[in-house]
Amino acid sequence: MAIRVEFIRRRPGGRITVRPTIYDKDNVTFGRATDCDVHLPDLRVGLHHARLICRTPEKARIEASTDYRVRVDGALIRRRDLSIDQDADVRIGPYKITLGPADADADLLIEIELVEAPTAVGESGDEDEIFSMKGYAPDKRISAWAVTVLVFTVFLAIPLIVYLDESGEPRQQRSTIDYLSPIANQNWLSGALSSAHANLGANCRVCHEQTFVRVRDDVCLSCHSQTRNHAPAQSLVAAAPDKTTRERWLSSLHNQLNIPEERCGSCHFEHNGANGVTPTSSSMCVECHSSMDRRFDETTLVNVINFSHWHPEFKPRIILDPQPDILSVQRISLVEHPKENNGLKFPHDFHLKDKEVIRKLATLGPVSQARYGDKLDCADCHQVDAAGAFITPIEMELHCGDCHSLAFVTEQNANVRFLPHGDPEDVRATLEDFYLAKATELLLGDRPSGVLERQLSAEARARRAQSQSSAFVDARTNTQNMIARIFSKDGICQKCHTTIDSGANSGMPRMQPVKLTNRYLPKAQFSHAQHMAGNTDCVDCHRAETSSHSSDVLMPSITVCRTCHNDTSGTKAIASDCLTCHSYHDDSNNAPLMTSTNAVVKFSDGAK
Amino acid sequence: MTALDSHTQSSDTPIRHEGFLRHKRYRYLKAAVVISIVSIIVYLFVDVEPRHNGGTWYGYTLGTISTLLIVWLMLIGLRKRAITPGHWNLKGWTSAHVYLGASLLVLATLHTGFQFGLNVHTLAYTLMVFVIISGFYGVYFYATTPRRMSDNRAQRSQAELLTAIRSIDRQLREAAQPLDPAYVREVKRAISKTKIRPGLFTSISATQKRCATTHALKRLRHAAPSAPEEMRRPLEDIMAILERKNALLLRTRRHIRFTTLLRLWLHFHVPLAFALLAALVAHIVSVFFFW
Repeated sequence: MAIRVEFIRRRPGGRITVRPTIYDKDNVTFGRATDCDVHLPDLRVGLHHARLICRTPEKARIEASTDYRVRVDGALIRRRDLSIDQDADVRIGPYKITLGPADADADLLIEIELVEAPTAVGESGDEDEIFSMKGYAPDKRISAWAVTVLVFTVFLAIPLIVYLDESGEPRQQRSTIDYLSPIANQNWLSGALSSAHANLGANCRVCHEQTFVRVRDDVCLSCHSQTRNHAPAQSLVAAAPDKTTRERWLSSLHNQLNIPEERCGSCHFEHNGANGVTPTSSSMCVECHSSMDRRFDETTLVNVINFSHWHPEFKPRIILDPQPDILSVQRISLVEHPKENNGLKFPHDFHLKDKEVIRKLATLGPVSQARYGDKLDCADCHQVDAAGAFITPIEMELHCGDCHSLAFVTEQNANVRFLPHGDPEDVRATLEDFYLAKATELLLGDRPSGVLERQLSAEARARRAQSQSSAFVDARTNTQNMIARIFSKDGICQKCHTTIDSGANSGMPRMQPVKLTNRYLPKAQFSHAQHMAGNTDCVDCHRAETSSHSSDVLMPSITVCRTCHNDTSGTKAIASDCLTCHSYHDDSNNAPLMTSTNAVVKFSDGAK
Repeated sequence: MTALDSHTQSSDTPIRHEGFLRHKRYRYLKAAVVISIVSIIVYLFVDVEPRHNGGTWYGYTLGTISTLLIVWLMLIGLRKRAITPGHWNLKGWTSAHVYLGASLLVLATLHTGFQFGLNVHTLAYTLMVFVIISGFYGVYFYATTPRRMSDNRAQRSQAELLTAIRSIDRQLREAAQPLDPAYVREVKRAISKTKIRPGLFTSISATQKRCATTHALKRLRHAAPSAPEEMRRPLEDIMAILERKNALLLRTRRHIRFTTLLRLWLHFHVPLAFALLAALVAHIVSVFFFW
């Protein structure tokens, strides 16, 4: 079989040229590719667009390849049988294909004519316009510049301008800079200031004095001038553990960059929120204190790792001898069950439970009864101070005087006279004054009131003359008798105090002085008020009910604390780090850590 | 099947194309995962005072790494313009760009120590997050769009799509010759008023509403049953051509949608990246200015 393909071209002036090709086979391929039998150079034609198969001299079939279609009579078809007499309008792209009757050379004639204008291949202006982002989004370069300049202006230029302006002389009037200043500060603020420093937020330069230099200690000390150091610098160095490789590397890096180490800011990190500036983690303390005895000979402190397991038993301050001239105080661990010698006789159990106390309370006046109720409890004598931290010192008149009354006489006008408490000499002077005053009254007053002189009998007058003549002698005798009674074994003083010297030689007895400890654990902070919340009772920690001697130390052991306090918080535990009880820079006189030589030992007088 | 066919229909061929996501068996994905996990583990177990943030030794370390990474990631803009062959080819760079860029989400977040505020520091972080999110969009479109695009174009170039539309317009003009002026007006409108390229949002949503061709087709279809006998045949021809034009317009607009989606994310990604660089510079300067 042979197929004759004729390209028909109409020339201007109506001339027609025909370019025939004969294919000696039963099918021809059409397409834009040059290896097709019939090359159709138009973009609307696929590379290998279609194939025409000659079946008989009158009939043929046209088949489009996978992605293309042939248009037959306006419809896009994939394949179609055609016949010569059908006169179908077959189009491949802009080309019209007509089947014609065969002649001598071939079985089938195919005429191809370009009937639509050829497409302009090189015309791409439209394409750029349509398939670009024009009108959809601004040029990337322009927007990149715009946002970069914006960010630089707001977040770099404005804060710098404000900084440079603030370094000049202060102005009288508000200017633009003053309005920009809060924005600039906010822009650069790396985190909220702690509540203590919140007032400094308006001006970064208060603390950040020098640019590109870390905040210096001088700046901190300009306000915190009273802050004590934890220990002398050489002790701190000696107690610190050896640096790890990373720390050594960091140190050398800091040295090279001229960045000071061991600053205030090494522990106190600002811009970490309201409570952020005070470190709370125990790890910084434990770093030195976990193995300090190995490095630092001078310390008497026991190693501490945590509260729950590696903390020594409390060592309360124990008075071994209350004599003022040889006052002996020692810190003794509760493990050793220390006994105190504070000079006082005081059985806690008796006062809390004994019937004698209850009977005595019943005899008191209505005001006192309202105060104590029908029996004593701890709070009747031990009151928390105004700060809620410690117990106020015991004062005899205030806390004991209602029962252990020092009243020695009720005068005719119901005026009660009390003995002074604290100094036997004062007692003697008071009694002496009282009796001498009585003697003077006797000498001046010649008769009892309400009785006329003439009504007195001669006997009475003689008795008066007698007593007047011995008034001062009697006063002295009364005084001495009274002193002997008061200070005697059954006297009021001996209830609580012991006599060192009966006064046989000097005339005045000498009493054992009393020293009561005000703070047993001076290096720890404690708040009674915080611990008395809920159902907690004093005797839960202080075993006063079973204490029959004042020598008993009623401080609770660390195990008592541990029932509630643990290293980390839990369902039944309160998280407790070192700073829960201790302070690093304690500037009170009571609890300077590691500076015990400077410590001022302060006790309550207790024996007023 | 021709050589061209076999190249485009990759899914049927045994040769597996290794895209930038799968480059070197996910080498950079693995690297990014390892970096992220290691940094998280260190974050959890290292003891820093007073808490994690940018100012601890670990914070400075993460900040330095993140900064260098951001600068390197931005260098892809230069790298893609310098065409070099070999080991560090652009595909490798792109792969590393995507995965290491994503790992910044972990590194920079740990650098912040989860401390955020209204300041330049959080601004830099936020910009970085937006750059990465826009990058994820880019990765998604790069991974899914090209195939859909080539399926849509059916082996035609985008220029060919336009040429075909123009050709249909010529056919319309030719076929409309025997019609009455009323019908011709519709056809003319379909030719002259059809906007191939819709607005941005119409383009992205890929709807054909308000297209003059669709409109003309609808009107003619409505008018055809009542048309005079001799108009029927040419009208049917016209409608067939209009339908073809409609189909072609749909393809073209879909193509525009794809090209837009492939590029639009970059219009966020690139400027945001530069804004991030500026914020990063401001962040670093501010931190050390008031150290």
